[in-house]
Amino acid sequence: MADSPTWLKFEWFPAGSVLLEQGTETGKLIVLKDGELEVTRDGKFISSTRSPGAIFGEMSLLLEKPHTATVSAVTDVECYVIEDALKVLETHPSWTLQIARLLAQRVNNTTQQLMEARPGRDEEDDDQRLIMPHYVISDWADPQV
Amino acid sequence: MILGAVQNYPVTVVGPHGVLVQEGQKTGKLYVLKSGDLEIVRDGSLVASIGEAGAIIGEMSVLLDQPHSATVRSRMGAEVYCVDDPNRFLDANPGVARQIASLLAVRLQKTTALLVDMRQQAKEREDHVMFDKIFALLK
Repeated sequence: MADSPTWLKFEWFPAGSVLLEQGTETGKLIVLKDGELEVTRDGKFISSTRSPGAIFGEMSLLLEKPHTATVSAVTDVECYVIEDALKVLETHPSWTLQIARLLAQRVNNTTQQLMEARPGRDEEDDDQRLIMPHYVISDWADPQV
Repeated sequence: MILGAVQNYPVTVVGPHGVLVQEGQKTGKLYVLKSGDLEIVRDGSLVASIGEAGAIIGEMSVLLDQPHSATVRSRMGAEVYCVDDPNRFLDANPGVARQIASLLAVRLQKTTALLVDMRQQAKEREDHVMFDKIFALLK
């Protein structure tokens, strides 16, 4: 990336540093290149990854809301930081599509898990069923075709 | 915005009680409601009714390159734009791609919140069972 554009910054963070902080709105997208990043919410561990290409900040960006979790470096980390990412995505529809694909996969996974936990699946014991909250139907009435 | 982007695409007319796509079918197309109503049916139960022009249908199937996960039919009849080259279409219309990405982000937020809720319930139930077991031992 010798001639990388100005909006794409290559950055290095020492272990322990915070890349995105819960409650702030940065408009940044972070793409992991090397090292391990950890996601925490309210101080509790959510997940960690070492996968190069993993994206962080996309939910906050698309929802135009503050980050709902903190992303910090477990090891020394190398990553790409895209500032003012919404603007960059406007001129790079293929990236937007890539993020949309990623989100679609995640929606698919969560939906699958919800379907599996749905009442009626686990017939043996009524008490063992997971109860779908009452607002599910109204709130979840989203086509998803 | 989306209605402007699709205005030159062919329109399919779905008659009353007609079916646009069948669950399990792979059309590779993106659909946009022009007028009328559509119903989404999954596993035989109605999941959603759509009546707003500009509503996007089929985006999951297109993005994941998978068959449609629900049947889409019309109660009163509908006119639907059919985008038969969705990937090229979305590439040429970043605004629409952005709209779909945002839609998915909202959806992910909802499904994740639900999942967290249900896990919490499951955990509380487990705690309850554990308590009963311990209590039974004490008796």
